[in-house]
Amino acid sequence: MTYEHAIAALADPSRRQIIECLRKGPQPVAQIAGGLPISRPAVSQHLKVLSDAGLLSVRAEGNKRLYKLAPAGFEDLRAYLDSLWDDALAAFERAAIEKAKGQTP
Amino acid sequence: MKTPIEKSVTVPLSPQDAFDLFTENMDTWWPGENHSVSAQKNVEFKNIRFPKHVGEDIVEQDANGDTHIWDSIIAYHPGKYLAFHRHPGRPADQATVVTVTFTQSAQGTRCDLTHGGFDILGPEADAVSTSYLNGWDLVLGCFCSAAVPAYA
Repeated sequence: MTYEHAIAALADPSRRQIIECLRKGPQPVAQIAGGLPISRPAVSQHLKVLSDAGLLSVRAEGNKRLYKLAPAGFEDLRAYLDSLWDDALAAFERAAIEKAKGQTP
Repeated sequence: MKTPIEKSVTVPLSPQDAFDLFTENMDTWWPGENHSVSAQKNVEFKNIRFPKHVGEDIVEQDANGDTHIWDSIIAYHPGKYLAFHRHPGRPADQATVVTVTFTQSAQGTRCDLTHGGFDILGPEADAVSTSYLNGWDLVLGCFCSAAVPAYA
């Protein structure tokens, strides 16, 4: 399930920083790594996790690989939250009906 | 992506009773077996502690006794209005925020829930907002770092 991987991927603060950085537009790994206090191999590993989770896409431009955000991956997350509230409020409604029964003499 | 999630449900209770059920009795109805940090860690979900004061945290406890902070209360008006968000200390416009209003209706109380705050600036804001990233874990909690070790 994509959203689960996406949520897992975003649990890491460094990966959230990478996403934040890419909101400015597509960037090569060197530029992304330049703005972060972690090693370039670590950045590459994070990029792989984010890509595998469907949150980034990558394209080649000359001899560089440019990473960019993949909005569809984030839509999945939002859809997950949406369904979560459906589940939660349905459960709330059931509990409210039970509670109301208890109040009726 | 920027549009808030909006949900409504009408329940056959007074606004005060609906509010109390939603807040202090949340752990009697919250689907914690599916939606909790515990569930993601394959630990039995135990309960949720829902505080009554602004600035305090909603905390989940699992069967091992470990606690997981969900959100912080930012508005608490019994019987009327409730709001909470993640990342206390951040400006309100940098966190996703859940609000619930409780309105008396002919059938009881209408509860309107919004989960918004996805609308932060930036050229890519339509796709991804900062607030969204910081708030995704709102209800899901910190669940994932523990949930999927392969990604940790």
